[in-house]
Amino acid sequence: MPPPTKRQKREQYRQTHQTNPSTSLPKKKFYRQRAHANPFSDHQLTYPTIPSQMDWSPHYPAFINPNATTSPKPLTKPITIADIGCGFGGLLVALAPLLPSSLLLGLEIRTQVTEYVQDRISALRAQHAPPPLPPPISTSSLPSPDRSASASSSPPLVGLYQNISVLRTNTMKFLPNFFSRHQLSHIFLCFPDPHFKTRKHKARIVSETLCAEYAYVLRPGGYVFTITDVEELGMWMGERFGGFGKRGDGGGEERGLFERVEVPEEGEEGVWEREGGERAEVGMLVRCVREETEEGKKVGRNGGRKFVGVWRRREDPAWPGE
Amino acid sequence: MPHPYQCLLYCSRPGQAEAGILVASSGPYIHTFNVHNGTYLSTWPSGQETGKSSKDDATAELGSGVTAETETHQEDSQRPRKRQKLSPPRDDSGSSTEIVVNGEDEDGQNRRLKPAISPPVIKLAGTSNGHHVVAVTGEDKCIRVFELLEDGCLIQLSERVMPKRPCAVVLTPDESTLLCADKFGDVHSLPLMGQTHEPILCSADDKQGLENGSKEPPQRDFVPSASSLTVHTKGNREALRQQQKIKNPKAEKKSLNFDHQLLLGHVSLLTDVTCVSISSSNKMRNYILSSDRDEHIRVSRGIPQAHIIEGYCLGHTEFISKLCIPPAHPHLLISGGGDESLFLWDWHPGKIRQKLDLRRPVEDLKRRHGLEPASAKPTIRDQEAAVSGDLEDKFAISNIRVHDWSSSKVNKLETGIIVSCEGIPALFHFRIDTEAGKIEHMGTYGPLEGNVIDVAVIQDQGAVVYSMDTVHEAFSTTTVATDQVQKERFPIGVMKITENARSNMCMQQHQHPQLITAMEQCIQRQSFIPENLTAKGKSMRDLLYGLESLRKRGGEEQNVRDD
Ligand SMILES: C[S@@+](CC[C@H](N)C(=O)[O-])C[C@H]1O[C@@H](n2cnc3c(N)ncnc32)[C@H](O)[C@@H]1O
Repeated sequence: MPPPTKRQKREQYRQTHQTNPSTSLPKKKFYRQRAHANPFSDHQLTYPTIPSQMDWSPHYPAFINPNATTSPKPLTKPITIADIGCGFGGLLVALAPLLPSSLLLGLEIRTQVTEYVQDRISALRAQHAPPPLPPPISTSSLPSPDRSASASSSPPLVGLYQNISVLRTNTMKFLPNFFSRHQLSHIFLCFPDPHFKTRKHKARIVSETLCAEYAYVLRPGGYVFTITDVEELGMWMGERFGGFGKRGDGGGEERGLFERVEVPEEGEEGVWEREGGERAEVGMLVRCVREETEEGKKVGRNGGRKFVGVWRRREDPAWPGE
Repeated sequence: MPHPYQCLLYCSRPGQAEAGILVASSGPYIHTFNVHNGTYLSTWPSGQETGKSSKDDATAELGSGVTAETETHQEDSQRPRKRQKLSPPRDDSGSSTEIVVNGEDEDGQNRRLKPAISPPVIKLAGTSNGHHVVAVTGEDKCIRVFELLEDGCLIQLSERVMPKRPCAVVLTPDESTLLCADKFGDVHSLPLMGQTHEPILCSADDKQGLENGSKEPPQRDFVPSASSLTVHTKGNREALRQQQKIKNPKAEKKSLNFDHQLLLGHVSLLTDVTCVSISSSNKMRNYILSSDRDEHIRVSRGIPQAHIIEGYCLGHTEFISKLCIPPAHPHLLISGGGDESLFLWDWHPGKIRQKLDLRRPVEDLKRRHGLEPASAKPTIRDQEAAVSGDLEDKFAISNIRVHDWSSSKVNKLETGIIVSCEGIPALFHFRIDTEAGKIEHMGTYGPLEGNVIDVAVIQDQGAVVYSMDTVHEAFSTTTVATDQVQKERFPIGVMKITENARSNMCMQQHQHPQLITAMEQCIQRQSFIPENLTAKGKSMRDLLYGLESLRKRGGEEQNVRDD
C-alpha cells in the first residue's frame, strides 16, 4: 500500500479532530487550501432562503432558547458583529472575551479555512467550559423562561467563546440570506484579497455596489472597519465607502452614507482605550484589527504598513422631494 | 427553415387601437405588423428585402414603398460608427440598402450583406405612447432605440454598446430613462434619447474603457432639449450633438461613448429588472426591483437613490427569470423562475402572499398530450438533461404578462395573468383575486402546436399573440421536429380574452388568418439567417431556451480545491 498522500493525511487529521472534539487547538497545516476562491462561481453552499430560517443552534448553543416552539429555534439575541472573510479567525477569537455580550460571526468562503476556525472555536470552548452547574435546589423548580435570559446576562455561566462562530458562505452573494435589514452594529473587512487587475475589480469584496449591501445589513450608527497592507486597496476602499451615496446626478446627497471616523495612530490605541466613550471602543477595535488578525500579525512581523479605515453609517437620506 | 419569432412587443398609440403595431423579431430581424388588419408593415434592417428582390418577386411586394422610405430616413439617421467585435467591420458607412443599390453582383452582394446583419434580438421594450421601441442584441451587447412611425417603419435613433451583455431592459416610470441589467450583475441607467458622442475611435483605450466603464464616477444625464419627435432629421441631430458637446465637455474623454450611470449591482447574473412608483402618504416613491440567478429579488429606491436597498423578496429556491408588477396593483409582484412556481409578493415588506405550484398543470398537460394519438411521445426529453438525471422534469417560467379585463355582463374589472414556460406548448391563465389577495388558475391552453416562446398582450383589442417554436418538437427543447412537421406549423397563434358563461375571464383561440399568414410569410421570405442560427446550431437553442442554463448544476466544487 502506498504511503498516505499529504492530502489524505490532512483529511484524516481533520476528521479525527472533528469527531473527537478536544481541547487541543487544531494545527493550521492540516487545513491548507488555495489562496483564492472565485467569488463568482457557484460553490456548493448551503444558506437559508431567508434569515429567519437559519438554524443557529449548532453555532451558538448557549444562546438558543431551548423552550422556543418555533422551528428553527431562534437566538436569544441577534448577531450584531460580522467578520467578512475572517480567514483563520484570529480577530473573532480576540474579540470574543472583549465583547462578551455580543454575538459575533465569521464568514469565510474557503471550506478548509472555515473548518479550521470551527475546530479552533470548539477547542477553545472546551478549554474554557464553565464550571458544572450547581445541582437544582428543588425538584419542583419549573423550567422558567428566565433561565436562558439569565444565562445570557451573566456571561460566566455561559463560558468563554460561546459568543463566536463561523460559517462558510460567499458574502458577496449571500449576505442578505443571513442578516436582515439594519441588523449589524459592526462589519469587519480585514485584509481582503486585493485582486490587482482592473478587470478583476468586481471581484473585490469592497466595491461601489457591495457597499449598498453593507449599508443594508448595517444599522444607522453602525461601523465598518477596513484594514489592508496594500496602499492602493486602502485608498480604493476609502473611496468606495467615502463616496458611497455621494452622487453627481443632481439628486444625490451632499454627504455620503458613510462618515469617516478618526482612528488612532499605530501604538496610540491604548491611550484611546483609556479615554472612554466611542474613542475607547474604536481604539480597542483598531488595535485588534491591527494586531490580532492573522494577516495583521504577518504584516507586523515583516515590518509592513497597515492602512486602516473606519466608517460610521448615517441614517438613510430622505426620499427625494420629501 | 424559417426562424421562429423570439421576441414580441405590442405598441399602440393611445386611442388608436386599429393602428396598433406588433413588433416581432425573428433572428436578427425586426418586423412590424398591423394587428388589426393583419398586414405586414416593415422590416429592420431594411436592406434585406431589396437584396432579395432581384431573385424573389414576392419580396418586392413585401418591401415595396417601405424600403424607399426607410432608405431616406437612414440617410438622415446616425450611422452606426462602431461595429461589435463579433462581426467583421463594415467597410463603408453606407447602409446595406445602398450597397445593394450600388449594383453588386449576386455573390458580392451576399458577402457584403452578411456583415450588416446584427446578432439576434434578445429583448424588446417600448414606450407606453407607442412611439419608441428599444431592441437589445445580445452578442454585440448593443441597445438600439428606434422611433416607430405610424406606418410601422423603425427608424434607428441610437446604438449604444454596453460594457456587458444586457439581460433585461426596462423604462423608468417617467419613460425618460432606460435601465439595463447585465450578465455581470450591474444595472446601468441611460437616457432613452441619449446618443453616442463623437468622435469615436476604437482605440486600445476605448477597449480598456469598456471594461472600466462601470467603475467611473457617474456622469450627469444629458437632457436633450429637442423633443423625441424632432431628432430624426439631420439638422436637429446635428444641433443635438453640438449641444451635447457643450454640455459634456469632458464626456469625450470618457471611455463609454454615451451618458450612463451605474445604479446598483449584484454579484450574480441579473435576470430581470422592473420599475414601479407607489404613493406613500401622498408622495410618489420610485423603486427598482432586480432579480438574479442566486434567488434574490432586491428592492432598491429609484433614481437618484438607487444605492439604497430597501429590502429583499426572498423565497425562491432556484434562479428567478421574470418579474411582473401589475399596473393595476402596483403593490403586488408576481415572479417566476426555475422553481416551477409562481410567487405572489407584497414586494415592499418582502412578504410572500402565495406560492402557486405549476407542476400539476404542466403534468396534466403532458398527460393530455400523451393521449393524443398522432402527436409526439411526451416522454421525449431533453437528452442532455436526461443524462444528468435530476433536470429531467424541471422547467422554468419564461413569461409573465398581465392584462386588464372587464366583463360585459356584470360589473367586474380584473387583472389577468398569462404565463408560459420554457419548452412547454401552453399558455397558463390566472386572475388576481383582489379580495382574497391571491392568484387563481383560470385555465391552461394547450398543448399548442409548438412550445411557447414569447407572449404579447394586445390590450386594446382584448387579444394575446404568442409565438411558438417552429423548429423543435413540442415539450422538447432539443429534439428537432421533422421537416414535414416544421412546414405545417404556424409561428404564432392568437387568443381572444373573453368571458365564459359564469362571467369569468377566459381565453379562446382566435382565428386571425391575415395576421398569422402575414407573420408566417414574413419569416419564410427572410433572406438571410446566419449559419449558427439554424435549427442544429446551439445558438438557436440558447436564444429560445436560455433559461435552463441558469440552473445550478450542484456537483463538484468549482475553483476551490485542495492544493
Ligand atoms: C487575505 S484573507 C484575510 C483573512 C482575515 N480577515 C485576516 O485578516 O487574517 C481574505 C479572506 O477572505 C476570504 N474571502 C474572499 N472572498 C470571500 C467571499 N466572497 N466570501 C467570504 N470570504 C471571502 C478568503 O477566502 C480569505 O480567507
